[in-house]
Amino acid sequence: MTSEAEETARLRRAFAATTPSDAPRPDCPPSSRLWEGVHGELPSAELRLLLAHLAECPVCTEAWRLAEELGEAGGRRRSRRWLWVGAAAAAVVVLAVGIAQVRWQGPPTSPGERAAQERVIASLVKGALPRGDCLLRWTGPRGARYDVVVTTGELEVVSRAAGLEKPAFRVPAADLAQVAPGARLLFRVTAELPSDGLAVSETFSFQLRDDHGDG
Amino acid sequence: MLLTEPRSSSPIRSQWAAELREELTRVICAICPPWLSADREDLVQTTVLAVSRHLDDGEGVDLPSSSYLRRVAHNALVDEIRRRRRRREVPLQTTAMADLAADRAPGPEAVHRGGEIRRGIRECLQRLVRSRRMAVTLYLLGHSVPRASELLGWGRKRTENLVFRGLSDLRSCLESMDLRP
Repeated sequence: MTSEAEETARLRRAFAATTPSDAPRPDCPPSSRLWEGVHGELPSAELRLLLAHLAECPVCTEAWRLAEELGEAGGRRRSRRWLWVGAAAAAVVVLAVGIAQVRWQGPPTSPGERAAQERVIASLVKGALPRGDCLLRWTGPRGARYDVVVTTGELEVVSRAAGLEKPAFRVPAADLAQVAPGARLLFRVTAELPSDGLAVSETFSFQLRDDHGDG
Repeated sequence: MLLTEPRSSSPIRSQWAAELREELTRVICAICPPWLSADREDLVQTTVLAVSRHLDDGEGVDLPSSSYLRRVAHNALVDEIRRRRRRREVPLQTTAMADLAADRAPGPEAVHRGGEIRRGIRECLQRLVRSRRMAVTLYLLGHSVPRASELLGWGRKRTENLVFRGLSDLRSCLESMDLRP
């Protein structure tokens, strides 16, 4: 190993080290958010907040590495028969909505501010959306920029967009090509507010409709 | 009403639980410090039970996909580790910090030095410009440049540049504190 590689290894080891006296902090994100970060399911603004926290917090560093290792383990073993039984959309949606209820906003804000942030984004999607014109719309504060992530019920990312200046996103038909007709999809919006704050929406759901002529 | 075998004792569930136990044991040993991994059997058991309870609360489905189960297992494991860290039901002596400063030569001075290096890295990270801090944080978490680039949604060249410059800043900062990892 070269001296530079050795030094990198030492830096990584030092960064990863924890002691018994390292305790979780009040502003630690939920464990589910760390999993989402590792697996590329967070909008960029949320990932930025999460990394800022990880730079400071050894307990969450450990949790991040556990998520990476457990995820990798699954990937490595994908070819091996695990006897997992098919998809469980209902249970997964319950979890997805549950995860979304825990909204991590980074450093704690006052209760009034937090409540205001939670009210700020509401879905304007009603009923099913056609595959050929899958337009997601939501309400948001003036001047905000938005990141949006669209996932399946099993939380696999279907499409994402960042830095949107309007509270709308048309999901490209190509991104929906592998999604089954009639599938229920989820989306979550993060608004970067003009005041430099963040607001994270609940997880909204909608059904994908295949109309004649949608192509 | 038709009585069925409890889901928690189905053969599929038993097979799943055995594989999850094996996987969790490996992951805890790989990532957690010795004082925590010494409790791995207890941690694994608590995590598997938590996942089982979660599945029992689900509606009519024995087992969802493996990625879903690994996600639930991770969350349960991290929550349990956090609980233990809060309670601090652990002996206070550890060799982890000593290992940072002097391989297999623990002593009060090595422990102290290791703690200083660790604190120094985190303090210096705060001084980096944001984009470099993000890239270097991912790099220190063990991710390669391509993987960091993928997570950040930045080009590979840009990420590589930020990691390179960020590490250089980090080294200079540590040196200014008289710290050499």
